[in-house]
Amino acid sequence: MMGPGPLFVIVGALALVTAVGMVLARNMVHSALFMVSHFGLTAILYLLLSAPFLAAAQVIVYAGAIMVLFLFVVMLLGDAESTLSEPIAGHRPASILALLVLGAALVTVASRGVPAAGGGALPEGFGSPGQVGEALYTRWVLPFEIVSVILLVAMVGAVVIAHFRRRAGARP
Amino acid sequence: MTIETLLPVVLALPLLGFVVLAFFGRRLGGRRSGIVATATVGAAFAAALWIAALALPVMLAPHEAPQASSKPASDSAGVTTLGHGVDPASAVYRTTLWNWMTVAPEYALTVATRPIPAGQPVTADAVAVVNVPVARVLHDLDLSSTARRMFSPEQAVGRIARVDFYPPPPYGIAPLTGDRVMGDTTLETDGSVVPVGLPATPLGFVVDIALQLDALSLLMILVITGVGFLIHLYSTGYMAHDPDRPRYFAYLNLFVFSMLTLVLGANFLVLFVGWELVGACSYLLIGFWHKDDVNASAGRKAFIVNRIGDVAFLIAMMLIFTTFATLSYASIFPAAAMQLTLGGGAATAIAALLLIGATGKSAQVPLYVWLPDAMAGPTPVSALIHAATMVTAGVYMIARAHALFERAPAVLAAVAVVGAVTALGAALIALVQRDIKRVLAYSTVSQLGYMFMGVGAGAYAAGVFHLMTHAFFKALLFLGAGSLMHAMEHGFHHGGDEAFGHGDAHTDAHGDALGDTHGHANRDAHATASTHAAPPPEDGIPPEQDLRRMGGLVRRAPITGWTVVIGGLALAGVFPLAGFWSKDEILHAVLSRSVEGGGLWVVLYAVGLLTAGLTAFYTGRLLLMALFGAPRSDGAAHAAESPRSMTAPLVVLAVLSAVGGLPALHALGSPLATALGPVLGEHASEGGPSALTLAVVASAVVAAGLGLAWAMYGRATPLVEPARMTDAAPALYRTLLGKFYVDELYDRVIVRPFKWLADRLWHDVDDGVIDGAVNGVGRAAVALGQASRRWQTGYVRSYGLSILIGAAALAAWLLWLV
Amino acid sequence: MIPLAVQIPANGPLMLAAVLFTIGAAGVLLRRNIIIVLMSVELMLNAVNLTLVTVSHALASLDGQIFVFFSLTVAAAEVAVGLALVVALHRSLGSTDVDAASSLRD
Repeated sequence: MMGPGPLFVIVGALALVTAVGMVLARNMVHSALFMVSHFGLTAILYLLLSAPFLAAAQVIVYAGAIMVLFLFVVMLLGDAESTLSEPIAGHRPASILALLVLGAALVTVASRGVPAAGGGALPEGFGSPGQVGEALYTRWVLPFEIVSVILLVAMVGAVVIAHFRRRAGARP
Repeated sequence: MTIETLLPVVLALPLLGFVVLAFFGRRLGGRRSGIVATATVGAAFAAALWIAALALPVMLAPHEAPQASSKPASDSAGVTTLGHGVDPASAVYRTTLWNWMTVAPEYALTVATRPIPAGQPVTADAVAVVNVPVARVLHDLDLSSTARRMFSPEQAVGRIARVDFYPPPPYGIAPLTGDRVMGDTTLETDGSVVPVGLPATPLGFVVDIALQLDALSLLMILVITGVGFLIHLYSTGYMAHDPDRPRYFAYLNLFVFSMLTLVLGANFLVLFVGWELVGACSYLLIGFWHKDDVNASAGRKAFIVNRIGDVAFLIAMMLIFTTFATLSYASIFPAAAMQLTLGGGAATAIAALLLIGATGKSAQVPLYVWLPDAMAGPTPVSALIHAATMVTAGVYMIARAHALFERAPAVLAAVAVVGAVTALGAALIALVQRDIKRVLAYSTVSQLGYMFMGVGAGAYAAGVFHLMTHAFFKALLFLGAGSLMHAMEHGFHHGGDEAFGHGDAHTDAHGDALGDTHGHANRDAHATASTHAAPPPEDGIPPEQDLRRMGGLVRRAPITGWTVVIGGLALAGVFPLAGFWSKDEILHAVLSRSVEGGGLWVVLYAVGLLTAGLTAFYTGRLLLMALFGAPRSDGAAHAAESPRSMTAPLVVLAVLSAVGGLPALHALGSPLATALGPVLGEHASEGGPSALTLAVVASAVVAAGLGLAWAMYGRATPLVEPARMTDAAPALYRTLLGKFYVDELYDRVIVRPFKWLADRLWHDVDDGVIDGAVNGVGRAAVALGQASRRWQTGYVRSYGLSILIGAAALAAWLLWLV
Repeated sequence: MIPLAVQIPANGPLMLAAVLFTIGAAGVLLRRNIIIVLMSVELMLNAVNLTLVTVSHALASLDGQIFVFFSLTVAAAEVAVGLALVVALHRSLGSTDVDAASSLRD
């Protein structure tokens, strides 16, 4: 295995920075902006990993739709500021300890790489919209359809939940 | 009709009566209940007579050499089969009603009992108990498929191969080993030895509901149904005013059925079923007037004391099964001599446990205490169950299982000793009792002791003979006592307002007219009755059964009186009444044993003789106090004869008591001994003192006893004041009056420690430990809940943390710790 | 084939994904603002997606990418429903603090 390419290192470092920024930002709008940057950087990583279709989908779905949704809700609810204080006694140290253990474990596993990695050359057009589309509509057609139903259900659910108070106005 | 078909009929009739009364008794009413019960038992008696008519010619046919034929027919018979059939040698009839609890039905089979020529394969149908001789038992274990499933061939090979190592016995036949040969087994013999099989013994736990009739059970069923019929008849009069007659007759019929089951069973389990059922009936009837606490607790006492013996019997049965692999008489008794070492541990244990069982049921030391209290039941019940039949079950059982007892001579001697101790002790207590029923109760215990002495001496026929005669005269005495009490009741009731000379008015019709409010004799146990003239009980003895208040009754109730006199003299053993013959046979047998058995038997004989004298004395005392002399109370003065339904059985029983000794008369060819001989396998007692001498000695002792009684109680001015006798040894008198304080002793030694233990167990163990543990578990659950409740913070992030900790721990464990 | 791809060792992106996942988990546990918690969840999902894509690339198998596609779709659905819940929660509690929704305790 060769060492990481310079582009990957740069992009990966930026992705890390944006992720940390997202988690630590007090202002939710800042968080959202960090998140969209992070997702964009991830899309670049996808490109580097021979997944151009996914990179496009990532930009469209996350940086587009989900991002807008988040910002919309943040604006809707107002009060973009939030606190970093911790009211539950002992929660923060315990969490950090558990996170360190988990993170160490995950990184350890990840550092071992993929057993069969780097074997054969990738086929022509690997990860292109054509190939992915072909796989989706042949081998994965049933899950694909099920996912469409899930999206429909989620849409209906979101509408119902968000309109709950208004329709059940008589309730306390 | 054959005997095999009649046997179930005898059983079924009383059962039918019971079922009818149990379901329709209330609707039938008391009178018709009595008729149904009496009719069914009477019909059973008729059937028993029919059986007797069919069987007696066979049984009385002269047998050749005494007991050679009771050995398994090993020569010509070839194959012994199960099921219906008469053993021609000893007139035993068997019928199997139902194959009950058959665990391995396929394995009922025939067993070869003939010589097997060399090299010829012997094929058993399935499984056999074979006494494998010293022969080469080899190969070719071709098990049937079922057998293969049950026993692995390796096991079977192992069992058979083991036989090879038995040392060659000098007499050519190996001791019985009980080895099981399974499947089609090839036995290779060298021709010089003869395999001898047990009589057909189905293996596995095969217990049939099977009936067996031989001379012993024939005698028993005749006594049971005959006396039972008379007592049923008597009860229709005696219980005429009891509102619970349907229940009474239902119980009585159930008892007759149970007792017949007991004596007709062809294996120990059927016997045990009857054994338990008669115990249950006894309990139900002792506590028949259960609204009175004393009666109820007397019933419980009888039941519990009996239970002690029953447990021993049950264990004995298990031992028998483990030894013989069967419970069937037909297989056990012929094999006992081969299977049990003489005086060995197994034989002694079995016999001793059976003896304990017998002491419980037959009221012997140390388990006799329930019988005197059992008099709390109605008097006919005392006559039937607690004198004539049930209490003799122990004697019957020992006689039936004598083959087992004979393998344990020590236990057989113990039977005699127990009998002697019981006979003497109970007779002593009977000397001073004032309650007529108690005198008779202790007399019963004493006479049962006699029977035990007889069977213990190996004179089974004598014991069974005494059982029969005792059934006659003791039933007579109890019924007579009931009749006297009935008469006394009447006297107490009419003493105040009615003059003398109403004898002829007291017929059945009059009895019926008395109405329920009359405290009838059947209310005897406690004088709670509203008789306006009856005095209160003294020393806890109701006035109508208090000997001190009787006197001169033979004039007021002549039929009852004179029949009771006959019964009493028979009990005392006066020539030529029934008791004389049977008692004499027992004493003769006991003394004959001393020829080989030594001094013990002389002592036992002396005890028996002394008991005979005591018996004569207390019988004479009872007769003289109750029947002769001047009336000592209003009740006695105005007593009236009982109705005919009560006196008729008395007369019949009096006749039987008088002539009951005839079947044993040598002059008549002693048909009883002839019939019982093959069953009981007695050796004719050779040597010993002559029967005549002993009879004269015994008669002299009896005469002395009667004479003393007459001297003390027979005259207006006694030759010997009773008070002088009691003053001579006041401590002894008090001890006897207190019945040797055995009840108190048991109370102190067993009942109270047991209650204390129960109390401790209740308060300390149950309340403390067990409840504590249960409550502790509850409290622990609450505490655990309180503690774990704090985990539920309601904060989503806390739950998330829990998940994370779990995930981290799992990852760490998988990664670094495994 | 994109030339840069061969230069990428598999364990680099995998380790990056592991760190990102942990950062996301930290956001879920340590932040009280429900919207940021939701974003952090997205971050964790994204880390997993990255892993899948990496392995797909390393194994030269399209299945991983297909799985990421589904995962993206479900994530979109999840965000839609999740934000609807946030809106409903804000309406009933007047707050976007996750700790405010702790009535399950009682």
